[in-house]
Amino acid sequence: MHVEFGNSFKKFYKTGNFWCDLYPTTKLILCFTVAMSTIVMNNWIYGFSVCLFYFIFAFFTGHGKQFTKTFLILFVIIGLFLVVIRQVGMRTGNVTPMFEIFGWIWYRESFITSLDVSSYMLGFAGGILLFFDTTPMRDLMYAFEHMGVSHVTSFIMLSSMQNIIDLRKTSVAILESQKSRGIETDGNILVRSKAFFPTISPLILGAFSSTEEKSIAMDARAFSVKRKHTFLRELKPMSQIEKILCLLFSLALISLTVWKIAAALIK
Amino acid sequence: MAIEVKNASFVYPNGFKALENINIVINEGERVAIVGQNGAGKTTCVKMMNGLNKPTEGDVIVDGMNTKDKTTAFIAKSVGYVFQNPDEQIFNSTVRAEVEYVLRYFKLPEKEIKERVKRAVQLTDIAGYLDINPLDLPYPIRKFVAIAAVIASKPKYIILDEPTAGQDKHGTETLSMMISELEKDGVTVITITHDMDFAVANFDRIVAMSQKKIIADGNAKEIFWNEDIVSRARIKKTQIGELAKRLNVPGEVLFCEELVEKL
Amino acid sequence: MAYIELKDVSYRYPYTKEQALKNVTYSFERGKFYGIIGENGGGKTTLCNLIRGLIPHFYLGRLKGEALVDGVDVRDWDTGEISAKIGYVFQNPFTQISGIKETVFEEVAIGLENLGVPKDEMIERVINVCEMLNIEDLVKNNPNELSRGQRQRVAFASIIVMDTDTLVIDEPTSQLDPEGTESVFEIIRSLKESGKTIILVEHKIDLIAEHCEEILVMQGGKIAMSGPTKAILSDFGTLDLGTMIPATAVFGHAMKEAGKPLADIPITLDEAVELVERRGE
Repeated sequence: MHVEFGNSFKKFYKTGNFWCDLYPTTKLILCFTVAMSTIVMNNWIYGFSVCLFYFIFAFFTGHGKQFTKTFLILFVIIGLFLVVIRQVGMRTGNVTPMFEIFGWIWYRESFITSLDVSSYMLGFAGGILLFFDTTPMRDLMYAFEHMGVSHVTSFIMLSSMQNIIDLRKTSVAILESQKSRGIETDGNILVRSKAFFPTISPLILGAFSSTEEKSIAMDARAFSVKRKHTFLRELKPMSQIEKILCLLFSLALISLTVWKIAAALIK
Repeated sequence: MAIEVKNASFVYPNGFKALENINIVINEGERVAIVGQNGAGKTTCVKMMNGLNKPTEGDVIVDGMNTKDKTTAFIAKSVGYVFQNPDEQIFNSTVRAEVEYVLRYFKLPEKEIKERVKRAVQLTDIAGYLDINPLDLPYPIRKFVAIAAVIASKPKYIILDEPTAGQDKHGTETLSMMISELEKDGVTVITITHDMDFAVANFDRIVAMSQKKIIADGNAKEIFWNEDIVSRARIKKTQIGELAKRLNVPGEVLFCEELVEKL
Repeated sequence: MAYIELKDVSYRYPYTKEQALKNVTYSFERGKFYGIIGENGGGKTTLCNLIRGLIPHFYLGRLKGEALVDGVDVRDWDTGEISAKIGYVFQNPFTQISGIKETVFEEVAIGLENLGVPKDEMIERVINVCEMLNIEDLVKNNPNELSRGQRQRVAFASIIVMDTDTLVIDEPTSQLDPEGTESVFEIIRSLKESGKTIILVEHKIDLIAEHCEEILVMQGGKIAMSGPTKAILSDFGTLDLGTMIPATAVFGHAMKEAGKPLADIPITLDEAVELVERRGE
C-alpha cells in the first residue's frame, strides 16, 4: 500500500476537477481579472451577475459549501451596510423617492449607487475568495517557488498556518491541565477567562522558543543547502490552452479598462 | 477510600474506542505502575481516574464520588495528574510562580503556601531553580517542575505519566526518593512507565494493559514471570529477571541480591 | 586520520556564565559507533551541536580551540553542506515535524527535495526507509496528528532517508516503549554495519552496552572518561560520574563482594550468562 502511495507521486497531482487542477497561477489570473472587471464596470447588474456566477461556479468546483458560507456573510455585511449608509449619508442627487419607513424616505439614486458599490466590492472579494477556496496554500507556494520565491519564504508561510493550529491545540491542553490541578475552566465566561487569561503570554513565548528548535530541525533536513530543489508532489505545468486563456482574460480586462477611461474622458 | 473503575469504556468524540470494559480498584496507600505498549490505552485510562475523561460506559468512583456528577476540577483536588509533556502544563514565567499557582488560586494563607512549596521543591530537587523561567530549563527538569506543582496542591492520589523519560541517574534516584516520601505523606502514587526497572523497584502493584484492556494486575513477580503477559503487553523483563530465567535459577528472581544469593 | 577531531575545545552559550564545554579533546574515527552518556546538563547535547556545526553557526556564543570535521574547521563549513554530511536527530518529537506537509510520505521526503534528489530515486528511498522504520501504515497520515512515539519514528526516518555518512542522534527513544526502543537500536546498528559513523546520546544503558563500541562520559562540560564500552561500563567508578552502569555489571560486582567472583564483569546479558555458566564448570 505504501509503495502504491509512493508511486502515485510519479504522476502530476490531480484532484479530478477541471478547475482545481488548473495551475495555481492560471487560477489566480482568471479570478483576478474577473474580480477586477467588476470594479472597472462599476455596475450592479454586471457585478451581481458575476457574484451569482461565483456561487454556481463554486459548486461546480466542489467547494460550494465552503464558499457559500463565507461569501454569504460578506454579502450580508457589506451589502446591507452600504445600502443603509448610502441612504443616510448621500443627500445630493436624490430626487426619486422609493418608499418610506417610519418617516425615513429611501431614494432610488442612493439605492442604485449603493448597489453599484457593493456589487464591485463583493465582486472583487468573491473572486479572491474563490481563488483561495479552490487553491490550497501549498499549491500556491509551489507555483511561487517555481517563479523563484525562496523555499524559506514558502516554509514560513506554510508553517505559520500550522503554528496557529498547534497553538490552539496547546491552549486546549493547558486548559485541560488547569482543570486537572483543580482550577475551574467550565462555566460562565468569567470563570473561563480567569483560567485562560494567564496562559496567553506563555503560550506565545513557548511558540517562539519552539521556533528555535524547529529551525534546527529544518536545517537538519538540508534546508540551507544551496542546490536546485526537486519536488515530490508536482503540479501539471501550465498548458498552452491555459496560457492562451490567461492572455485572453488579461487582454479583455485591459481593453475594458481602456474603453471605460476613454468613455469617461469623452464625457 | 479508593479509586474504583467499574466496567468503564471510553470512546473519543471522533469515534475512536480507546478503552474497553476496564475494571480496577486502587486503594489508598497503594503504589501502582501501569505498563504496556504505546497506544494500549494507559494515558486514556488514568485521565479517566481524575475526571479528564468521563467514561462513555460504566463508572469511575473516586472516594465515593462518581466522576460523572462532578467537574474535573473538583475531582482533581483529590486526584492530581502530571502530564506526560510538561509543556502542556507549565505556563508561569518562573518555577516559583508555577508551583504556587494553584495555591494562590485557592487563596491559601501565605505561611501554608510557603510550607507546601518548600516541601514540593525539596521532593523534586528543584530548589535551585525557583527564580528561573521554566522555558529556560531542560526537559527533564521541566518535568520535575510539573510534578512539584501537582505535589504542592496536595492531592490524595498523584498520577505520573512517564516520569522517567529522559531522566539521568540522578533524576531517576530523585523520583524513587520522592515516591517513598510521598508514601510517608500518605499519598497514593500511580505511574505510567516504560521503564521496567523503575516499576519493579518502586511499585508493589503492576497493571499491564494491552489493546484497550487490562490484561494483568499483580505484583512484579506475577507479571514479569508470566511469559504470556510479557509477550501480550509487549513489555520486557528486567535484565536481572531475564538473566535468572536464562540461568534457570529457581524461584521468580527479579532483584540482584536475590540472584547473587541463589548462585 | 581522525574523522572528527576536537582539540582543546571550550564553548560558552551566549548570555551564560558557565562554559558548556571545557577543554574537550577527542578524535572520532570513521565508521565507529560512539555512545555519549552522563548526567543531564553535563554537555552531551552541546557536544552534538558542535559536531553538527550548529555551534558556532546557529548558536553564537564563544568557541575556543579547534573542531575539525573531515579536516575542515566547523567555522569554515557551510551550514547547508554540513547537513548533507551529518544527519541530526534530537529529542523533541514535536519540533522535528515540519508542519508544512500533509502526509508522512511527503514529510519524510523533505530532506531529499532540498538535496535535489531526482523524483524516482526519492520515492524509492522514502519507501525503503518507511519499511525500515516500520511506518508503512502511516504514509498517508497527517504528520501533525501523530502520537509522540509515531512522531519520533517519522522524525528519525526523515533524517535516515538523507543517507548521510554520519548520524548524530540525541535520545531517539525517549518517547518509545521497550519494543519500539529495541527496533530503533536495531536500525542504528544496521546503519553502523553499512559503514556509517554513529554518535548516540542515550540514557538506556543496557542498550548502550550492547551496541556501542566506544563510550564518552560527559560531566560538567568535560569528557570525564572515555574508552571502549566494556572498560567504561564494567568500572564501578563510572557510577560516580552521574550515570548508570548495566544491571549485569552491578550484578558482577555484587558477586565479587559476596565472595563468588566471576572471571570478568559482564556488561551484557549474553556475557553474564556465559560467565556464570563458566563459573559452574
